[in-house]
Amino acid sequence: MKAASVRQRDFCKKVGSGVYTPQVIVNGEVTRGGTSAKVREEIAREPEVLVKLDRPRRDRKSGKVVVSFDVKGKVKDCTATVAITERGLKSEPDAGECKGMKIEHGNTVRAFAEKKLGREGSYDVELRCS
Amino acid sequence: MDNSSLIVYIRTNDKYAIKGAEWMDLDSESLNSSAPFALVETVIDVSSPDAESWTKVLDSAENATREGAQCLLVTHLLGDGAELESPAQRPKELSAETPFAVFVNSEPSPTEGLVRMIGSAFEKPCPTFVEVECEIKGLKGDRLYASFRLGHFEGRHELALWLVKKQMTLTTQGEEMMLKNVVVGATRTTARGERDGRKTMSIPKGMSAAGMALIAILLDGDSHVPFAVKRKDLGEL
Repeated sequence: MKAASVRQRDFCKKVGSGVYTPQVIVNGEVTRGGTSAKVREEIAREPEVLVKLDRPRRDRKSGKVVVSFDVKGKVKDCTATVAITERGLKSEPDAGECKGMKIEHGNTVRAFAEKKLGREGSYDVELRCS
Repeated sequence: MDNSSLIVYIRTNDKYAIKGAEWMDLDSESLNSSAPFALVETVIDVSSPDAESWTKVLDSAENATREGAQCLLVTHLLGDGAELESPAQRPKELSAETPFAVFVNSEPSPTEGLVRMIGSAFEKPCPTFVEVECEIKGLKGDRLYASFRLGHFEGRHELALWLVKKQMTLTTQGEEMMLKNVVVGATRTTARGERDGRKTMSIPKGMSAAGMALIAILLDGDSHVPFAVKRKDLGEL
């Protein structure tokens, strides 16, 4: 697919690597050789950013859920993605092709937000959660 | 917040790496579980005669996930119909419609939902639930009747259905090679939330249905980034 080629080419240009196949990129690093041991080693590498989450709280005034977390490590040029998911939801559409059907859902993303990071420290993200 | 989970993950702005992640089940006493989390992308060219090398690469990445590594594994297949100069360059066992793509980590695991969620959020946030079901409705001659059911999501997307031979032997340049997860049939359809439908697919002539799996992939309509994958082994039916 063209988009896959473009993504690979852009990545290789960024890191100064040649474009070849097969090629394995683990967390933004080109792994030479692509052997099992090498890929495993790359995946198991300690994370460069440590995240410490607090239990979220609901702001009484706004009704929003506030998620607080600390980040430590190489956070420059990074974005934090925060999501709350819910399991076990069911619905029964009253119109359309699924009218009258019982549909079970899994891992519904109920709230989602992103926050640009620039430095280590504590961050709060507000989520509107129904 | 019963039955809910919270995840925070840190990725680079260029979207090539996940630097760290932590998540928790909000309805359990244990607050945190943390682990290294990696984004693994493999790029292979199915038009290359060097099938052995790309098979090894796929195996390496798959094995790593089976051994418990927490990672989102995305495989980009190059050399599809849009890119090949000549169909003759393509191994004949691969369908002309062989799409790019994806997969692995579609095995059920405790982190499946997490992986799926990160997948959905990776390129383009999709703050709605996405689920895909598929099954083989019947097998008549070389025809497969696949049905799918979609959960709630907004907008119009694409559903790709792949028929995959989990293992097959390919003869290239006089050498026999064992390949895994070869796409032998594919079809696409427009997908809307909370709809179901059916598609008909063909099994390549002379090929046994044994050891095949049907993979349904829900793709973002614009970027074609996958956000839900469901696999059904034909052997289960």
